[in-house]
Amino acid sequence: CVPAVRMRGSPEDLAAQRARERQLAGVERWQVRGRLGVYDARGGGSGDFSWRQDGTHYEFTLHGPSLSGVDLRLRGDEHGALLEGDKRGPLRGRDAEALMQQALGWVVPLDELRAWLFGLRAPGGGPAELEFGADHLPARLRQDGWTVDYRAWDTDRQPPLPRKLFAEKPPYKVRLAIDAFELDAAPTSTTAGR
Amino acid sequence: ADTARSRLDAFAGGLHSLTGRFTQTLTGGEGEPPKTSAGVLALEAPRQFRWETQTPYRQLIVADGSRVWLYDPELEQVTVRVQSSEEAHSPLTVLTDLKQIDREFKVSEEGARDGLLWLRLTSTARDPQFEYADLGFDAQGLARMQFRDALGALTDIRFSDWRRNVPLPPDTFTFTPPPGVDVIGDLPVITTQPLSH
Repeated sequence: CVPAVRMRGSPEDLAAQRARERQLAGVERWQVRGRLGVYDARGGGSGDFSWRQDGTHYEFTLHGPSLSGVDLRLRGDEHGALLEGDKRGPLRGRDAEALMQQALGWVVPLDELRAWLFGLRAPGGGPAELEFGADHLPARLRQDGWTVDYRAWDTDRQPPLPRKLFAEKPPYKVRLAIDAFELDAAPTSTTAGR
Repeated sequence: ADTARSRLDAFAGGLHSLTGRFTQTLTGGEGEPPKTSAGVLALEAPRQFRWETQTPYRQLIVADGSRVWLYDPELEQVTVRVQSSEEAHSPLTVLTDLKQIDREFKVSEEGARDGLLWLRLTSTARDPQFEYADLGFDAQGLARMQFRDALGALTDIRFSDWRRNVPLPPDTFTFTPPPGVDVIGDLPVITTQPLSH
């Protein structure tokens, strides 16, 4: 079920968003690379991330700056997730978000981000609210207590895709600066999460 | 004899400060394309360094001797950590004080490869961030550094334009978070600047 969404925008905004949603609905495989910053008053950090999705299989790697020693790889699918790189050894669990919090103490809403990355509302999430900018692209999305600000878009492509998004749900902040966004990228390696 | 160690000693002899350029390539797991970044660095014994990535994005790491500041302008975020002793075992601080190398590492000759003579530094720390770093030396001195992280991803750094003991601008190893940027971690207690939310 797709959650109810309140879209505040002109008819042109709504038409543009529906067109984007239709064009992106069929994307099963994609890869995103960039930098991730996480903040929650007590701690947090940043690093280079790469996120590959192939249907329900995903592989998310994070490399902290050469000093911070934050290096992890999360792999999994709907059955379970495996996190490698933690000093205590591989961690297995049902869901990637819980494993990331266990390993780094970071709160990153990976499930919702999977849609927010595209400027879309999370299908599994609660009701969403969208506001648009002058470019008829989402400027702000609110869902599940998170506020996602779309700071920059790559409009040299069709459909346009976000280049920078700052998500916040006090006291948590998750920021993504996207360097590369490939749709229908190569399939991920076999999943080890099962 | 011309060994990696003799080239290190010649390079580190009388060295107080150093500036140069770097090109870093990170080769991750299977299927992950290598990521290359480049920029400039400055080092001053015993514990100060500046690692400024300029392409493909900007990022700045400054160790002022007591804290390590990491500033990512695009994320408008600064992470700051106390510069602890384990920090002394990070690959970057190895370079800062090459004369102290034997105190922190087991050093072994690895022979010639890719036109360089290599030295392996195995960390003696209890819980090192990296098992070992390999330093490659040409006739002029340090040319390359390689190390692997917990996931086995290889970081390969090539250095160029070394300038030895040149006077450095006073603020080279200091960092003040710009206004409006989120600062995370162990802020200096004396700071008068409130945490920006």
